Amino acid sequence: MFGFFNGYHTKLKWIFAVITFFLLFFDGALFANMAGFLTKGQYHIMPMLLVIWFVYAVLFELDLDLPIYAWTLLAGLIYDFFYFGVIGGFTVGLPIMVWVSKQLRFYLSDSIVSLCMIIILSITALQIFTYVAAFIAGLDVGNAANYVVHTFAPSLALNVIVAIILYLPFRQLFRKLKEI
Amino acid sequence: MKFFSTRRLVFVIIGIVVTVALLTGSVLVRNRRATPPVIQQFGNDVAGVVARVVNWPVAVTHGGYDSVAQLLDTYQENTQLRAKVDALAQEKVRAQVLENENKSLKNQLNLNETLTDYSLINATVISRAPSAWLSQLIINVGRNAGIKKNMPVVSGKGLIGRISEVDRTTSKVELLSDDSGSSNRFAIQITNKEGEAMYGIITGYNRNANRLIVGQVTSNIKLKKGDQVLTSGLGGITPKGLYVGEVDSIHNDASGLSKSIYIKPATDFGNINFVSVAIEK
Repeated sequence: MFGFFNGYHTKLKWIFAVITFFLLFFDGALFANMAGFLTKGQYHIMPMLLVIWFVYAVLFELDLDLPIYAWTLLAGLIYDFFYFGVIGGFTVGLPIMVWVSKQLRFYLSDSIVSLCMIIILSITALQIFTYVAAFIAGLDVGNAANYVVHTFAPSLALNVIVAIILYLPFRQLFRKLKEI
Repeated sequence: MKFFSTRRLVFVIIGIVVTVALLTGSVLVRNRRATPPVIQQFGNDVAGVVARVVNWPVAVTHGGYDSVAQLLDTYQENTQLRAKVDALAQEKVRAQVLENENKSLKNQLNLNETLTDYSLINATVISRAPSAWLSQLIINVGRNAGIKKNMPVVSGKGLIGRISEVDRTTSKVELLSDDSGSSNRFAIQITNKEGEAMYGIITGYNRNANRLIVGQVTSNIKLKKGDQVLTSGLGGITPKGLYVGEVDSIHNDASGLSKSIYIKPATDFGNINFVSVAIEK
């Protein structure tokens, strides 16, 4: 169905699905258990491992083998259902973010700096979208400057560091999976 | 190539319309209905099972780290606690005597149920929404355990929020610190040292200072820093006597006609692993 699991690289497709769902729930589990550290005062530093996973999937060209937009749509829908009960922020935000990283992939080289650039820009696209979405939905988002200082910037910093740490393991994993 | 070809423009416009419809529609459903649509409930229940499995190793690791951290100041804490336990034993006996007396007096007056009668259902936090404005907790009890929307939730020392969505085996808790503007309106009472009570409603939350705000207060009762704030049990589903926090400061509004009372919440909204849902009897 939609090429989720059939065709070539079936192992890659299955493992991609399992890790996607694991990270989807791991983000929340991590935030629940480390909230004392991640939400000090006004600060909300959000772990976004699922987002990093999707950006890397695009950077390592997994979208050639599996339907990445369908996966982002599904993961985004579950994310919105399970965490917020308000649908739209991630359901639409994740595909937009993947589209942004796909566009950027052609312009940037293979170095770690351009990798960071893509991750920063992709997460920024997602964050801006979710902010606008929450605003449209009528949630109390506070003012934009506050959001940038207390949520967006620290979350970005954390996730870029996590992404750099995860670069080598993910590269190994994707290479291995593509061989089989 | 132009970025916005006619075809692409049509797609973008349709996309925007669908997104806005999804967002506003789901918020409407969330606010108006007691339970979400069946498909959403089913999805959430399945997701809840997976979330529990994923949360387990994370919670165990977190628990282990906490234990080690606490071990370091155990000796000092133990000395303090021992002194407190002695005092507590006395209080407990006294509370029991008062409770019995209260029960018999209620019987004499034929008062069967009052606003203070409630029971607690305990729950574990299995996940927390990674978001700055809707940082909801997901807990492992739902409709099957008798949970209903808007029930108050307590943790540690006091009130932390209310149930915002109920599925069959999981529920979402909207924290007081979220201040989504839609539903965090708890009726509270503040009693001063002279025993006079003032009634009000929590109208907001100040993120800068981590203070709950009771606005539009016109009462002239004199309050001081440290006066205790409890739920009043008036107007609906919240029982009386849940601890909210203590008065921190009192500010006059710009008009000079009313005051705002700033309350220091009893619970740290950051570290919440277990909660209890208060159900009125």
